[in-house]
Amino acid sequence: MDFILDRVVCRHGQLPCRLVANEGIIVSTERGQATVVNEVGYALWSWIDGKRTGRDLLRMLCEQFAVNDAIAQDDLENFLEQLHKLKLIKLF
Amino acid sequence: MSGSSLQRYLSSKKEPLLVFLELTHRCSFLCVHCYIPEELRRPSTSVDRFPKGLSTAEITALLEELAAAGTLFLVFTGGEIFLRPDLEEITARAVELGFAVKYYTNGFHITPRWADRIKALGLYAVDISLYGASEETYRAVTQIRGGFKRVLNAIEYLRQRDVRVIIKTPVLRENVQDIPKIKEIAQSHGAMFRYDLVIIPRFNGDLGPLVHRCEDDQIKELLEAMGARFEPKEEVSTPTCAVGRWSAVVSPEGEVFPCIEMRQSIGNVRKQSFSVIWKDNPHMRRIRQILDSMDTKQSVFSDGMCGHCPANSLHSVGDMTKPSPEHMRVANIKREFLAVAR
Repeated sequence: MDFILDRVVCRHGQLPCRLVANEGIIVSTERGQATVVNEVGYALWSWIDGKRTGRDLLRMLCEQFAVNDAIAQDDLENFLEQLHKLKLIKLF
Repeated sequence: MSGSSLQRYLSSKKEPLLVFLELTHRCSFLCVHCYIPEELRRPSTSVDRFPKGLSTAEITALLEELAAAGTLFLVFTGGEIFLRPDLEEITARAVELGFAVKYYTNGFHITPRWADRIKALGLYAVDISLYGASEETYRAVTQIRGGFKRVLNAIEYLRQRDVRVIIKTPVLRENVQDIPKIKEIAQSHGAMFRYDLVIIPRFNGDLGPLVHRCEDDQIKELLEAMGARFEPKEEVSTPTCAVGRWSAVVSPEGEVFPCIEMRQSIGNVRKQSFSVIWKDNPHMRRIRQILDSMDTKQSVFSDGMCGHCPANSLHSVGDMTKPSPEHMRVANIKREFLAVAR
């Protein structure tokens, strides 16, 4: 997916979620499915507010978890693509 | 992640991810098979004769506690939840707190206006018990008039609004002949359909509901009519029950139970926090130990025919790791049916 980092990331409707024992569970009420993400994934999920772009999320990820920018970028792009495929996020 | 893999994952967490909140035991129906004692279901008597249920404020406080405890899936059940005038307020707060909320209801009270509200609230799903495919059957099961048409309308109102509906039917002598038709109704409304052959006693020990269980031949005929197929599975293990491991029940009066069938109170949310009850109660810890250490490859479960309900087993054979006689009876009927079908 091109330029994913330049797009605004929004949650796809009502998505109940909880952090449980260092893993996040996100429920799609629309699709009736639960998705499990790790602690970093859950932190990213919590930052998705419909205003931040992928690049904003990347910056926060690097700051909060002290990770290398290039690695973080690959991981973040993959993560957002997955969420998009699962219809958990919309990209604008 | 869905189905059994999600259940295994949740079982490993030992967190109260699923809580059934019984908002009331009162009901607008008086179903012959219901596991709730009749005196608790009758609106006229329950108000006066039984302990006062949790208030709106108490439930709201409990929801906040449950959210903090990690509960994600919240089922509002009864009795009939629509008899609570504060249902919408409670639901709105639950959704606001980030729960995936489901209703268990008889559907009788769902009007177009309620269907609009349900859609707007953003529920995960609405489970409707559909007891028959005609007014006659409905009356035989629920002991009230005019139920079938109203419930059918409710299902349609929800379908029109794209609300996920799951239709569930307990299979009884009174409605077994209607099950294929109920399935058709579910399919025509885009709803999932489940039927349950195991009828349980009332939680006060009354065995009255058991006389409504189907005979062996009735179950065989049903399996045939439904075109049931039981495909051999490559890897079968005992179904994992949520009891004590990732699920609990809170009664209308705030009593906490391991499940709807295990009615030994392990605490009351009016006296203790839910988290303390969940983590520290020795009875809950014992249930977890027993179920975690159970042999999930028991031969009785190996062909995938036999269901398992730890509470049912505990009450009937005194051992929650073994299958109950009723589950074994149903499993044997399925096996016979399969042998003939082959």
